[in-house]
Amino acid sequence: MEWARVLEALLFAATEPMEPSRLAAILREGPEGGQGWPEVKEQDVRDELAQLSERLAPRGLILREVAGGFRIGTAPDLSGWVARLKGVVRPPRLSPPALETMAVIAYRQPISRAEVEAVRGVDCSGTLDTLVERGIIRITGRSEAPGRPILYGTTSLFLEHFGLKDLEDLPNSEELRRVKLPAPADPSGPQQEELIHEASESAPQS
Amino acid sequence: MIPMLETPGSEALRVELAAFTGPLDLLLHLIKEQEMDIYDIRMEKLTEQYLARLDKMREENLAIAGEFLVMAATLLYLKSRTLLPVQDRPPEEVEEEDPKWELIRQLIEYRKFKEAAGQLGEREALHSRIFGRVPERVTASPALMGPGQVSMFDLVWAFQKILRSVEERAKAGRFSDEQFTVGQKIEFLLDRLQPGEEILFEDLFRSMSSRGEVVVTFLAMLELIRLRQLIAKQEAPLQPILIQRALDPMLDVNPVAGEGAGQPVGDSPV
Repeated sequence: MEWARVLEALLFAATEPMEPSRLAAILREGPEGGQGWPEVKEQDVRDELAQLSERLAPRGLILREVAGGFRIGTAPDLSGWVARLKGVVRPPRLSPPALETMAVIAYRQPISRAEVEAVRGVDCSGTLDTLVERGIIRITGRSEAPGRPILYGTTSLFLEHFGLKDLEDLPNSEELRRVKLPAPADPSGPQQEELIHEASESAPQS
Repeated sequence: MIPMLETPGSEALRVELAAFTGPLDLLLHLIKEQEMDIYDIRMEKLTEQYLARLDKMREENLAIAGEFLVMAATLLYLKSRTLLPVQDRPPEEVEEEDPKWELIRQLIEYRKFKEAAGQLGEREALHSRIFGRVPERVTASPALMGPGQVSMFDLVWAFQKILRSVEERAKAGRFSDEQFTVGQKIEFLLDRLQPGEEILFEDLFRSMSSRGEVVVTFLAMLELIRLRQLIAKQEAPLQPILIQRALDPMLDVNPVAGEGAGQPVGDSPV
């Protein structure tokens, strides 16, 4: 396929994840002042991306599907070498408290600070600020709850930072989304009973 | 003025970093260490171990975060309850479920998220070892400019220019002894700029005649940039700096996290 080379060049030069639909659109449109391939469909691009990924496997580069698109990166086992280059910076990793806060937000967004704190049992204002500053989470709006607290959610940088395709790609997402959150104030009676019931049912497994 | 990344009690943070991320984390650790079943916690033993651990922290001169002390009080209460025969309990509590379940429930939930955090941490470790190309400042086209494209130095430099002109105006005899707070100026900025609207950096300060007001307004602007409510941008290096209000997140029809997946962010079943 002639356009496979173009695809490779686009992915190499791109500085953000490229959605297959966007890649297909560029291929159809053609180069500046030239003719493209009007017949290329998104699925063709996906097929070619799968092949490209296989071709790259034994080499120093990898193709990742992150944040709804595809990105070329260096192979993880070569990081020590790449880090020797000037100007190559790896994003700092999150501290354990920040990771916990991140996990609660990722699975339960949109969520207020009080709700995150109810799960973690500690003040989270510092970690929330840090995560917002780093662009990993963002303010998504305000809750209708009393005091209209600010709600937080994840960004596409979050997906990239953790190498996730989308939110469905979170580990055990089904189970953790079902977990009932402790209410920030006092929990309502029936909800609590339900949980105790659930807890005693699954007791033998732990 | 700016380097306040971790505001609340840096001492509390030291405990978190030194050992546990919070009292629940410490409790889970003790339960595991004592080989207890989380559904069948021995309150007396757990309380004793917990307090011993706090003592040790105190001996090591680690400041203990308030939350650890609140948990200690809760544990002591729960323990004291187990010592009371059922008929001696306050009447309103006899009918109720053992409040211990409240804590157990919290522990179980916390444990799930702690495990999830661990898994996210592993993913992070792997993916932080993959390097991709990052946008280059100089060659980026104006269309690609996003927040952060104006450096702190550019802003401070522009700000110094403003300060100088204000001082000249002040010399010309216009004085004001009004007091301003960052909070007020945050409101002023949010009032002044509608979502999506932009204004020249200099124009924001045009009507101001006191040094104090300008400084406070600048701090308010930095705070809003940090909270991603405002964006500082520049068409090209050395061009005038524009301050733009971010689009109201509430109206943002294409939430970042759901992009590509075509899924609204808030649809997880609660």
